[in-house]
Amino acid sequence: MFYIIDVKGLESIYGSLKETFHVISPTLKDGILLYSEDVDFNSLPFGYTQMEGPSFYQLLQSSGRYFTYLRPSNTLKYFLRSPNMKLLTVKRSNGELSFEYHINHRKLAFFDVRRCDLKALQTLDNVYLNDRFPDPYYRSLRENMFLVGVDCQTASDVCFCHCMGVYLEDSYGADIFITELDGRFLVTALSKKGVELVEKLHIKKASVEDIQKAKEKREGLLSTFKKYLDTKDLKENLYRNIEHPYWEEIGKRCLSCTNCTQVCPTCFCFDIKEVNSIELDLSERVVSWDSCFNQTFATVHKFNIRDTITSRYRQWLMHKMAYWQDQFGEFGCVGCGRCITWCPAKIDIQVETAKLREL
Amino acid sequence: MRVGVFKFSSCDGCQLAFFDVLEELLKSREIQIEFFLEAQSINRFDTFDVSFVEGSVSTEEEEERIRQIRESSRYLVSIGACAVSGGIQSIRNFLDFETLKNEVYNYVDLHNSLPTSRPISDYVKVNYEVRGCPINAFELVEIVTSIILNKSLTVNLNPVCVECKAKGNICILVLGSPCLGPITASGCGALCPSFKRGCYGCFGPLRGSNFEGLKQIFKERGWDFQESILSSFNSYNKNFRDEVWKLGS
Ligand code: SF4
Ligand code: SF4
Ligand code: SF4
Ligand code: SF4
Ligand code: SF4
Repeated sequence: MFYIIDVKGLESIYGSLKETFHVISPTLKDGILLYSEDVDFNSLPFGYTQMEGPSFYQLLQSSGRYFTYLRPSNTLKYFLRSPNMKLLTVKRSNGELSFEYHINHRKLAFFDVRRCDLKALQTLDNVYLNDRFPDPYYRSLRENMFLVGVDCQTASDVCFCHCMGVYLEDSYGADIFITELDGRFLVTALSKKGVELVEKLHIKKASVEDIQKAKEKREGLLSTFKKYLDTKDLKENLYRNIEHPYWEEIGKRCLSCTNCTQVCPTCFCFDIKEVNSIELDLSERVVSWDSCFNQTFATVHKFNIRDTITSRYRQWLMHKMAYWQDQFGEFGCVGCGRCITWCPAKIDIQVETAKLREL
Repeated sequence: MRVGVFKFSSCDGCQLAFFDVLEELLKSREIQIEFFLEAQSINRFDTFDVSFVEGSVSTEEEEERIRQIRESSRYLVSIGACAVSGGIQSIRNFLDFETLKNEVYNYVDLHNSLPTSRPISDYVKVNYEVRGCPINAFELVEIVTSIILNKSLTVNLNPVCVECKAKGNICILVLGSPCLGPITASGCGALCPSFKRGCYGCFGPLRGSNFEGLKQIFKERGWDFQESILSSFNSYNKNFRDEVWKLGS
């Protein structure tokens, strides 16, 4: 179902989401675009453009257009599996134990999710909602969620989603999708929830021309990408070079700071700790983000099987680009470019992967 | 559990952390504080299940005293940048001691410092180190609880960046402020970057860090890496001695 709205219509969609959901949207914080809760419509970063490069970020105020910015610097992961999350509390009183599981039933809506992040959500869903070990904490948030997808207009210098299985017509999980036309917006309702929301607002159906125009706008994005990664036989080529001395060269530059894994929308590794009270009557189980760059990550019986930064960098790149395919049948990278922007050492995963496949 | 709290060359700030969590600690009926000069007037020096030591070894008297404490304690925990690394006073280890003494003090004869200020672990075996200047008081509670439960203590081997990202901060090193977060042990909750100020390393170096890599980044951006480390309160930490100053042992 296709509809056409102006900025007032956009505002009413936003308002109606706020009636039912905790709405999470991009907003400007200390000069950076970040997803945040309780943003009002007037603080959406309309008209900004994002310049990003290796270890470089700058925002510019631009034209009179709206969705000219790109994906925020943080990710959906931050809200679906927050960095330090209490799973379980066990209490002891009068010799009895009681257990409380902290499943979160909040209803979240994300207003403005770009296609790379929708693909990343699909990747995360494949990790957390698989048939064998579905994660009840993740599932609860995920089932109650509403997603508004938005089309990008100009790629940044770090984006390469077009090479990583993100296609122009993909809209995994989105309930409605918005494409900016000139001063108006094409709204595509994709799910039952999506149709219900839009129908309630009594907005105009789109014409065939509008739909065609949106398709052209969308295709216009393709010519703006500056990065390219050849993914044909990528896994095989990387495995071939797994012992190549070039990994050492990257290992000299990498700080093992974990920034890349933490800003990545698909990295899911975690650590679990048991926190006990000093009176020994309470124990809390806390899950926190871990990273394959941490020294304890691959430590088994006090022996770290990845004791060098080189071996840890190799784990990260190989997992994203090769092992993930063996594990889940897809890439672990969606080409969002965040790890490139936020690496203090200017290590660029697309450049390094391209290099390593050709060696 | 018999606990001792001891002071060497230091500012007393880390001992103050005990006052922040004293109420919490005393909830456990197992804890007896046997020796803590700053907190109580009746003290007994006998044997200890755990001794917390603040401060660096900086005089001959201290060299002797730390050995006594070690002999009397099952676990010895050094607390804070002075005990762990030598503290701010260890900057003298990098300068000429005689010149320094004459410049600073009027009555040099009354002065009984050793030419170096050294971490506790240079003298005796240390079972666990609590980082920071000052330390994070909750770590004390965690240590005591773990000893009571006979639970192994997890040595923190993550950089500040892990906590920084968990807080949702944006990396200010990328945005142009010198930050020692990538080579500094976490535990402070990324306090400084959360206020848009680069980490200056008060929790001390993380072993296994890529010091050379961060040095290159500082150099490219025109910042003085060695100067940053000298003012980190941890300049004489073993990791810096080996990897940055290359002092040998
Ligand atoms: S690896 Fe980098 S580019 Fe790929 S999805 Fe993760 S953050 Fe984005
Ligand atoms: S790249 Fe590292 S942190 Fe990310 S999912 Fe793989 S192993 Fe985990
Ligand atoms: S690749 Fe960059 S962001 Fe990732 S751990 Fe290494 S230095 Fe940090
Ligand atoms: S601001 Fe400092 S501590 Fe935080 S991620 Fe960047 S380098 Fe690490
Ligand atoms: S961020 Fe660095 S300097 Fe600041 S409190 Fe933490 S360890 Fe100390």
